[in-house]
Amino acid sequence: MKNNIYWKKNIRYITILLSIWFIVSFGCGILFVEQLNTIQIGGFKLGFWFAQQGSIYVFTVLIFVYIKLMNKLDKKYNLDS
Amino acid sequence: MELQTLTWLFVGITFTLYIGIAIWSRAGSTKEFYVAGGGVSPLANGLATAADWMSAASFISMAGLISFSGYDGSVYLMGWTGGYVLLALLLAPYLRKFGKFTVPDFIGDRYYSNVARTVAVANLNDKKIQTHFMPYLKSGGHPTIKDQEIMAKNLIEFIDQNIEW
Repeated sequence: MKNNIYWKKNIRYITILLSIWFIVSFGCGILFVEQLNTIQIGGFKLGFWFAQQGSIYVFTVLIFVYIKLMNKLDKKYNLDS
Repeated sequence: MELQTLTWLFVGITFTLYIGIAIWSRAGSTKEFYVAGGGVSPLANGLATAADWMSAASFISMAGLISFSGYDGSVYLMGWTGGYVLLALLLAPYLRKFGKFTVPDFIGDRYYSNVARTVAVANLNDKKIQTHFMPYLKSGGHPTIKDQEIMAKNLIEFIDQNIEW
């Protein structure tokens, strides 16, 4: 039972984080790139920036967030080794 | 000293050094062999993984890809780094929890199937694996020496034609 809740939470984290992962790379970098390119920040088109740099920044942040969340969850359910 | 003697000396020293290291760090168990007995700190492990990721493939071909194909190259870039997120979220946490050391071992146990395990190994030799500069290559896996010579020649021609020095 306890393990079940733990696993469900884990799946929820993964789903949310992978949704962001998809939106940032495929969404901002490919699907909506034309719309985003109309916005310019610091001389760069926003869509282009997302494809080349922004998505990678977000990827790194996602990994750190997942590690933090899971460490907290492990501690809460006494599963950390 | 003659060149021949020097060469033998250097080769001898190098071999002795490496054989010495090999004997000194001999692994006695599977755990020692794959994960250094679990004695590597998470930070060092992460640094090693990052160094592995930032190989010549990332540095040289990513930079070349972007400078040659501009925005289109970013698709490859995002796939390359985006896969790392999948690795960190879906595979890496369970490798250790399963007590397995290699991805094929883990896949085979997780999906209760030796077929899945074989696919995980065979995928390393996927016929679809081709890099940007050699789309004409029909062979799978790593190219032979002859292929590499052809590729190098083609690349030099390509550079000669398209770039003004």
